Amino acid sequence: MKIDIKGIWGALSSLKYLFQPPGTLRYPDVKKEAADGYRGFHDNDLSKCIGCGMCEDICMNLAIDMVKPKSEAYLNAKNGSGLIPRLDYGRCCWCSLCTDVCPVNSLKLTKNYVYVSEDMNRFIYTPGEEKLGKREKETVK
Amino acid sequence: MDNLNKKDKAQLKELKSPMAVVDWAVNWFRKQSIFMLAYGTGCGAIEIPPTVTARYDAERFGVRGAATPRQADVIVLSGYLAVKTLKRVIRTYEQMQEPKYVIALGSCPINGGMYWDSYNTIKQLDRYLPVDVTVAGCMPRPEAVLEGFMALKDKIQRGEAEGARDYRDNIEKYKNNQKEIFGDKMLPGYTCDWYFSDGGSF
Amino acid sequence: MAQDIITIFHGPQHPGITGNMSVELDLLGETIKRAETHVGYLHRGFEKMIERRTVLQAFTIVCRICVPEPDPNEENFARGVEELMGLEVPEKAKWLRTMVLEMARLQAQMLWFAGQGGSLGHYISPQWAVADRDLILDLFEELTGGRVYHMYITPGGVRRDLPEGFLGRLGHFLDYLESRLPEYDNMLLRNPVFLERARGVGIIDPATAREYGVVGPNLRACGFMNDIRKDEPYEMYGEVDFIVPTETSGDVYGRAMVRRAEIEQSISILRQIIRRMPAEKEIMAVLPKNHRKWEVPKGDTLVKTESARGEYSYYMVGDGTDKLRRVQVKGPSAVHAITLLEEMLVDSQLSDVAMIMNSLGTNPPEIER
Repeated sequence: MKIDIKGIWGALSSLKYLFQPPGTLRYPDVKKEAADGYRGFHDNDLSKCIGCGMCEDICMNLAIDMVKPKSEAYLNAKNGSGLIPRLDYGRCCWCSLCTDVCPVNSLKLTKNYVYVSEDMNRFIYTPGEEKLGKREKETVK
Repeated sequence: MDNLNKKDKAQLKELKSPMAVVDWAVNWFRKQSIFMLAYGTGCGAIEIPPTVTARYDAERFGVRGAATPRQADVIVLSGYLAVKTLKRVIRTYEQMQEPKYVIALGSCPINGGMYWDSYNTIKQLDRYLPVDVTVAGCMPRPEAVLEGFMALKDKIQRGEAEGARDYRDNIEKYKNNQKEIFGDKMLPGYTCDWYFSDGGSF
Repeated sequence: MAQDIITIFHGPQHPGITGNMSVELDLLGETIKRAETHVGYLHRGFEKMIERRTVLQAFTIVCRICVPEPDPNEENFARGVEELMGLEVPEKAKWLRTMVLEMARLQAQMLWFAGQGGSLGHYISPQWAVADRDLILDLFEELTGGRVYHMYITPGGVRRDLPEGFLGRLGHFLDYLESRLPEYDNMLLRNPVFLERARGVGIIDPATAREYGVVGPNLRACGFMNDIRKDEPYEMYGEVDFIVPTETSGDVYGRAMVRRAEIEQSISILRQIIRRMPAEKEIMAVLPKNHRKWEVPKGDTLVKTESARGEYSYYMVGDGTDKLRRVQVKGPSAVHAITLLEEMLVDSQLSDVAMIMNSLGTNPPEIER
């Protein structure tokens, strides 16, 4: 039986990686920042939003609904309908068609991408009025 | 992260009775080693290999793969479920031994996701299986999946990861929901007749 | 003592299959006597869902048909709509599309490498190949905004322009990958254990390949030089130089060698694209702003693309409104995973099933969409 010395020696040559530093990204201690333009969670600038509803029209998953805000004080004076968009993260696919079509550039996608919850009913989110933390939502205003 | 850190020591000081210390210790041992079943059910199975291999290395958290349901602790449902797959998932879940947990990834188990108007997928996973932790995203990145595992570990340490007991106690409700969707091709009764303490079956 | 035939499921929950499908096997000892594939675990009804969405809304759903390599689907859909509507795509958009397609081919071949090693029990291959593939996903994240589902190639052009310094980073990554390829050879492709297990197993003979319609690297390993990028060039493939590698043995080892040579060809194509990328700014054809006013005229068309696993084809029918009337998708795995696999597994061993499935490049989501 012929023994393939060169093949065995080649396979054992990977042992040299035992003595080199590892390439792991140790997640909670070392965080790698997402690239610019990453499609993360939404954010809405209420002082610019005019309530036109084009984001609701283009979303094919019916993930955006236009609702009344919690308090009128933060609305833009030019907001014609008096409504702001509310998102359902049980339908959204982060395709960013809604931010491309927004005429005043108030709806944007941020670099934040972590949200974990133990209750499936806590995934409805109004950007601009609430902030998505890592585990639970916090209300900002 | 591996040994007792400050948070654990602070929790230990607050325990009142010897039984509470035993419970705390049992939960601590359970959360340090979680075996994940090797079952890629949907789209999200493409972000599981980066999570468990060298770059993001979930084995630092005690998570590794298991080959059969009898050896696994957690089943990760990565995305949508067709009706045919749901039947196999339920049968696999019932073969796992307690304590067992379920993690749901993505937006499809929450409310239907992108396939909300399809005729062959299920829309709300909560009605058929008890879910412990849900992670948002389409697909969630490996960092988000690792946060999901960390949230599961916190839930186990608090003693609240009781999805399996919820399934056992409310077996009638879950089986009725499953029968609505499967109809004639419902799962056989012998897969769950040990849940009925009076010897009955579904 | 006579042996009985046992029926087992090499089933949907198994660490040794390439996705969510199952193979039902009749075993006599360890030899397989009959095999039957069961699919349908992943059916979502894409072709019906596309009929309900306008063309701009539908391009975001098409990339989820094939999970490991979404870009050939987006490109096929976009090219079909452009042929129906008669749109003219700017030249820079074509160069960008070719670049994205070749990067997607590279990361799909690395994922194949991980699966091929892992199915033999050689667990260093998945660790190295998936970690190196992650660097390509970082480049995709910079360019398109997402790691896995890019949604970048849209009917009319592409969505975003190149970021600053992107081509330099791509060049650095290609240098790194070329320095790693000899290590992969040492690890798996010249390993005496792999040569013993892979030579002479899973042979496709050329007459069967022609009769069943086998495509992709499986066909090229039987000796035929068929590649849609050379036979019917699309995008900018007519302007770059590359060769089509072939082998004649038709077994698992031959297919591995063909894919290994294709990785080198992809690296060479990407280097040519980096040198020749034009510096214009226009990336999108002129279309109406309201997506409900795009009109797809009456007619039908058939478009084809070469992905890492074989030939993808789309047949699209328009009827004058803003939605498509019918879209029919055919992926390469329908033949490989059902007809070819059932015939190839007869009289082979149980421990070779995972290796043969990985080497054919079977991928369940595109079988039943």
